[in-house]
Amino acid sequence: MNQPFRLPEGGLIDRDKPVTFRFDGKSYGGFAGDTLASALLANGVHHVARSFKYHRPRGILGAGPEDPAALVQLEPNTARTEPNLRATEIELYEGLNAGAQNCWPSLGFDIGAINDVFSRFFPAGFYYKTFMGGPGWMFFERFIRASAGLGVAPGEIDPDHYEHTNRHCDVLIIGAGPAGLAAARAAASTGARVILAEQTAHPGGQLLDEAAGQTTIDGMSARDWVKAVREEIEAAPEAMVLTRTNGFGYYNDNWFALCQQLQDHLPLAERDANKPRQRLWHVRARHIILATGAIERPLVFAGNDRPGVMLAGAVRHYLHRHAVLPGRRAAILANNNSAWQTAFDLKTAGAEMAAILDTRPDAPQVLRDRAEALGIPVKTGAAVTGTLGRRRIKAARTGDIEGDRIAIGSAEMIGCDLLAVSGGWSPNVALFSQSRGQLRYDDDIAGFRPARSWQEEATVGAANGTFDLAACLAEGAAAGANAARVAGFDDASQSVPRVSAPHAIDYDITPAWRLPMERKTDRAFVDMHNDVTSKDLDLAVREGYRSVEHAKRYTTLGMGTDQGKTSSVNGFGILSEILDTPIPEIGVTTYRPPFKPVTFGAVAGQHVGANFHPRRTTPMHEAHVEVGATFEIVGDWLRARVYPRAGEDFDAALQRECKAARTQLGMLDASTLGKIDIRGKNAREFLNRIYSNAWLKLPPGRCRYGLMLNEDGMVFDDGVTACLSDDHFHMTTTTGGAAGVLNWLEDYAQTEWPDLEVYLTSVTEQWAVASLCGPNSTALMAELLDDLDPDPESFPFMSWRPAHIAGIPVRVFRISFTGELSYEINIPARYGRWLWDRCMALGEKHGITPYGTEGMHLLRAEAGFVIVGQDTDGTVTPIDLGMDWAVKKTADFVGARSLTRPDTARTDRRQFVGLLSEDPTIVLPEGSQIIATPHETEPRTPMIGYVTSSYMSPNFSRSIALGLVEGGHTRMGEPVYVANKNGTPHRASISPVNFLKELGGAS
Amino acid sequence: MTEPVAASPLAHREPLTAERVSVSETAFLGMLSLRGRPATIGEQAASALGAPLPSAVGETAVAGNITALWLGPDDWLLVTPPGNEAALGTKLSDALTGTHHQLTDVSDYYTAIDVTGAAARDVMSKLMVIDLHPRALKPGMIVATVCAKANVWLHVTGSADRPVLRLIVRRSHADYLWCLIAESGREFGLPPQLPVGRVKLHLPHFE
Repeated sequence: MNQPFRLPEGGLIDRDKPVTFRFDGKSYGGFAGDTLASALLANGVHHVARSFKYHRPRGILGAGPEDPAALVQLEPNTARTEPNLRATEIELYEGLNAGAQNCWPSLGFDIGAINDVFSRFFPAGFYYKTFMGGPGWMFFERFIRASAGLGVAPGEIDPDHYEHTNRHCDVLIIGAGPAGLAAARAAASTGARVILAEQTAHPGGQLLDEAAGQTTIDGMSARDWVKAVREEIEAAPEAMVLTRTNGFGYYNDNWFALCQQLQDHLPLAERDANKPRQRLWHVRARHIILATGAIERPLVFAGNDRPGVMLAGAVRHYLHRHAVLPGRRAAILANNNSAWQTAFDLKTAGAEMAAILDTRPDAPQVLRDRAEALGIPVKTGAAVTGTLGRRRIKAARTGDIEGDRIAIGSAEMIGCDLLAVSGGWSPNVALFSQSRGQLRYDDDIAGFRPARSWQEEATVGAANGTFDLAACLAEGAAAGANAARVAGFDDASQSVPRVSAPHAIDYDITPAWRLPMERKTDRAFVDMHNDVTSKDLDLAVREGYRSVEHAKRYTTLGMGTDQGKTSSVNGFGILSEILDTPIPEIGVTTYRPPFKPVTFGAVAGQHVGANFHPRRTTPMHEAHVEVGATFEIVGDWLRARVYPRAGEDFDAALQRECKAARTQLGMLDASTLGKIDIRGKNAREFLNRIYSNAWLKLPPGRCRYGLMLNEDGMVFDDGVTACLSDDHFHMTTTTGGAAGVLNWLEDYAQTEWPDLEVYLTSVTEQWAVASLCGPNSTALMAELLDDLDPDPESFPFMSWRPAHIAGIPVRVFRISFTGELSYEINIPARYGRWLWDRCMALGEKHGITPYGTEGMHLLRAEAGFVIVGQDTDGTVTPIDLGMDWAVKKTADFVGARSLTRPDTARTDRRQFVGLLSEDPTIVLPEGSQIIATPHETEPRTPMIGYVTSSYMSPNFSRSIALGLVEGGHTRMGEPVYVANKNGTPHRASISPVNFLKELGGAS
Repeated sequence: MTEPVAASPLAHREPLTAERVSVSETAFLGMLSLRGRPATIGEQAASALGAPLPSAVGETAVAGNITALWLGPDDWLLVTPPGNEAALGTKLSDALTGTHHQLTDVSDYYTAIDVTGAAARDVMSKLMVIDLHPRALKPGMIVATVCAKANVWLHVTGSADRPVLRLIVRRSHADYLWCLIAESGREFGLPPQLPVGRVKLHLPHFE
């Protein structure tokens, strides 16, 4: 296809692989090796975006992650769509489709551009000033949100997958330009573990952005040298080169995060579904070398955001990497030497050079001579004061600088279709700053450079303010060798690459932070991402935002997705002029990760969907699934909640299960309860200190319920503990509390009472537990057990016995959480499923009914048993629960002292009581507030408690509830009212918690 | 009388094999947790086991069919072939009579997932933050660490280039880890595995 701005030869593109792509609905051609930006430029397309605030036409300014404005929507209207991607970084693939964003109805004609006409009404702080008044922010917010943002977030689930990986290495090098390559080669030669990360597809950096043959290194052309060094690094036994890898986060202890794009450059049809799209690397490095290069700054002058205004270095990039001539008649505007090279290269490539405009009155003679030899007109001490052209620059208006204004009568119009600008190069110190390294401002380069490292780190090359190639290579090689040595690898190759570049231009700069303007209405953009002009900075300072951090936030300078890569330092320079304060005193804003945007997919990695979080299952889990149980999540456990039969809903199943468990035989999978083996001659004393009740006299073979308090005296766990032998106990905890309780016990055993001989080992999952409940349970137990008579007379409540089932050793506990005759069988987990099935088969004739956690909750509520975490919330003492019997007076225990604090000893604290609604069909909603009056009163009804548990009891054929009520223990029978969001409060009366006794007549 | 049926935590999974990585469960290994101070139990334990208990972080000791893994200054896991745990327990228990110690059978608590092959380290690097490089993690080492969101013990056997990475994991975490390991091995050809925990939840507030 026709690519009118493509040069006939050169570049790192593959002309044998033409690529067709679409942008903004139109079809274009490019080549493999292009970026979207280079391919668009080859087709003469400069206008690619509309700006954030004023919807001004914007073009391609840069050539990499620094570009502030050439943002596009990739693959619009598909599940893979991604907004705000930089056209300069998108590698072209066959069939690529990119849409323009932030414009309607089209990129060429955009209604939003009306904002630009009225721009003087939208200065910095516009939102704060305008929308707090009148109808207020809440009113305006929806309109502002509708117009905010640039691209469109995807609406469908991401079809790609992502992953994390972890690596440790001796030397991590970020950036594979000349300095990074030299460092990696030196380090890799020692056998150290080396990772070299490069954000683009090709190592080489600036060496690829110059004319082939301009430089030779070690006798090779620069490009051949890059290839040879890469091969050498990759051949080293422990070195790895990661391309397309964005090193975006430098954290403490040399922990580094990188995002590698594995498939983004491939046509959609060629992407491998078995490979991740992107991989997030977490690298822990002994030593880190930052070779992140430098970022060119634009100049701040009226009309500087016109499409066709490009960074001079970017122009060289497109010229030499992609064989694209970004303009046929070009002008240069610069305050430093480096842009002159662009002029020479453009001329050599066949472009017409309209002018070199240098803001310095004294540009070096050697450059002027070369310009003259090439026939390029030169104007020094010159500025651009305006640009013409709608979707691409047509002409630049220039004039002579005279102090802070333009000399009258010096204006001249220069026709051009490309204006290459350079405001100098800023060392790319973002990652260095993230590492907490300190910067210093260097007048010689007019930029901030690393001053002091905070971590095991070295910054080399242009990132360190070293712009000379030979010096970059020497610095890189030395840093690589040193990093390897620090990591214990001594014999680095000491060879420093020899450079021959006879026509290299020395870097020299005289800053010009903003160029004089002719008219008051002229606007010069500092931040082309967020549409911040130099006048916005003036305004911010006038309004008192003098600190750089305040001015940044007030104007949004540097706060776009580009993080101010091209705008920050210009902003600091302009602030320094406005405030008449040297730049070092202005300082810099904070650099934070990520260096450039990272996808949410990469951050989530493989931990999504079914793999998001562990779901722990019991040995009996499949048995529950097979009969169609519905589950709930408790801690990380999946527990069967109810077992609905065909045609049964949740409530019907629950009523059936609970009726069966009291009248016939119920079975619960209780495997998830926490279990801790406690052993040692002081185990008993240890328990006596940990639990609030007494443990010294519990004989072997017996069990006891225990309450555990924290130091505040508040209940934090409970459970039954059995005495296996005098120095050996088996503790149970709540399902959710198991890990916390073990930590708690270890903490006390190891740090508070190291004198006690006691060891603790979790046995939670060693045992599968079937809990049998109901009058028929003894009969089933008798059939199951080989060698134990389950008769409750000889095997009484709160005791345990070792026994065998089909020869398998088990522990049987006569404990109950339902108030019903119960047995808990603990069997080695491998036999859990078998035991469940065996009980179901043998129990059929006894009416066995599996019940879930919801049934367990209901049954225990009938018995008035507390669930720690449901009926308690960390502010409830045993006294509040009415469990004074579980608080010993004879010995100290954890939390004892707190129970006598005035607040904990109050008698009007919220206390645990039963609640019976006046209307027995009403199940009081759990969480409802309890009030003392029949109606809510204004302004705020005092709340005297709330409902913690509430059920329809099948065994009493009425609703029951538990709750915490102020002074509840002394208010038995008194009426209270339970707030009802749909109408008048429900009337209820306070009762004791044991409904079996209250309603069922149990003793 | 029906015969009791033992089921391992990963009984519902078949071994996964690709060219450079394989994953399988080694079920029913005998495992005993031993707690005690080396000064108190070291001698008796050594004579019962046939070798001294390992004494430093990362160390393991092998004596016949018993491998002792160092988990902490007073904490070891003894691993022995399936069925041998009872005999080993009795022998040790007898030898340690009268000393302050704790010996607990945890054979049913944990299972072992073995990841082997040339790419085993690459696969597991995706789930573990510790350094799996052969220079750092050598055959014969034990590490207590985190794999994805689960606590594991990693015991390395085999050789440097053909390692066997044995993860000793809680039985309730086994399926979660199995599926994530398969996911990590997808690029090497392991087949995707769906976790068993994809069940109906009762969440009335979200309906």
